[in-house]
Amino acid sequence: MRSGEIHIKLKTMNIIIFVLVFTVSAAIVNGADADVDENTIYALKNLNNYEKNVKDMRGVVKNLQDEVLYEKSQAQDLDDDNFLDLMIEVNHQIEELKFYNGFTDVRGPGIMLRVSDSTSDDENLDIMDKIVHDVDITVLLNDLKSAGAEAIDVNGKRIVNISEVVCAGPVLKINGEAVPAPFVIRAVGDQENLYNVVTEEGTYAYDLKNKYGMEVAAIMSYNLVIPKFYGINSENKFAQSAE
Amino acid sequence: MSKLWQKVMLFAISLVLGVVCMTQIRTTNNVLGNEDPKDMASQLDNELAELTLQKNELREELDALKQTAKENEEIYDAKEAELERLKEELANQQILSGYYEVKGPGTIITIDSEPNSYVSLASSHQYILALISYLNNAGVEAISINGQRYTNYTEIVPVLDHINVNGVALVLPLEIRAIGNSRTIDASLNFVGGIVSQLSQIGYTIETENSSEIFINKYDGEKEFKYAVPITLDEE
Repeated sequence: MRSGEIHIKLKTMNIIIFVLVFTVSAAIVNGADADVDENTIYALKNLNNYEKNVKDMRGVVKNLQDEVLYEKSQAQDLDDDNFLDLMIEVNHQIEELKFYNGFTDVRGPGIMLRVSDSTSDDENLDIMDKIVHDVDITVLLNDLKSAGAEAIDVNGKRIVNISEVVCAGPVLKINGEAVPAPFVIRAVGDQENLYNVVTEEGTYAYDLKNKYGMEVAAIMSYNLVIPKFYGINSENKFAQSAE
Repeated sequence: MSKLWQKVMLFAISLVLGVVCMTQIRTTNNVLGNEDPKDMASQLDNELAELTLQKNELREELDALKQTAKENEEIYDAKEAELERLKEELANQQILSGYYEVKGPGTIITIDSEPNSYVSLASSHQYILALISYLNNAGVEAISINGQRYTNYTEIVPVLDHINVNGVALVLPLEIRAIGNSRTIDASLNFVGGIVSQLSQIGYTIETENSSEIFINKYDGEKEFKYAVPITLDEE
């Protein structure tokens, strides 16, 4: 009886174990399948590719961000170069020198001097002495400079240190252009000094008028406008700074 | 013995089943992930959409920045060119002003009196003025008389027997230096009845020497303007 009971217990045990093993095995087989069919594998593969694409895109965006930062820093560099100040400084120096050199229109008080050929009937005068020559104008200009003229023009041609006043047949050539008589010389400066240097006895202008009968007339003016130098050859081709 | 064997077998089977069961679960998790592929896909969709938007924005910003950079570079180049032009103009005006030493090819003219003649430099100062005028006619760019630079405000004043240039007394011989084309200078001075023959007629000797490089001093005086006022663009 005792052994019969044990035998039944063992049998029951075996059945339980069998059922358990069967259940677990079934679960494992079911788990191995785990809904992973062909479609799932395909979807997973696509998902992986997709993930890779997204990762690549992250890289692209990162590169773009870096490029944007780089461009921004470059733009900053350009702004830092302070051209404007330098340009203003150089321009200022040029304007100052231009004023000094007669390359700027100026105005101020001064005199106007009109000179034209002699109308004298004096037969002792040579015909050449009755004509206003280049040297006459040159000397008058020099006299005006010595009287402190700050700007001079002859018939609108500004007289500067590279101006020529030379004879060119019946006319004069000043700053490369023909200038006919009458010659109107305008000079800005001290009116009294300028007036005296072309009217006082013993001056060159006085002699032109009184010895050679030339028409020489001076008047003072409170506001003269003297044009700037318009030369064709104001650029230096030969001279260079030696400093 | 049979009971022990039974227990061992049971233990072994349980162990193997447990390991297989856990491996199974973990593998499934590894393959499928914790999340649902559909969720993941929609998450990736969102991220991609956001990244694409960002990319487009950045691309636009970059294009704009590059365009600005290109425009800036053009402005920069234009400014550089303008600055270069201004510097050239400045150098030109500096040479013209006479306040800078200059060098270049040109002619040195030496004027003296003939040994047996008496000439008064003061009474022939207009010839010196005419000579300068004819040098300018030859297009010279810088002139000095015995080291005195001929500037815009240089006057030649006869005083007693000599002349004053820039307020400095000068006597014979005069050495006039001119930077320019030597051949043109010669032609401008030496024509028949020209300034050289005029000077010779009144007892001067004139020697000219061409040189590939002559130096001309700067003017070291100052000019103060009391009357002349520049007319600015606003006034015009």
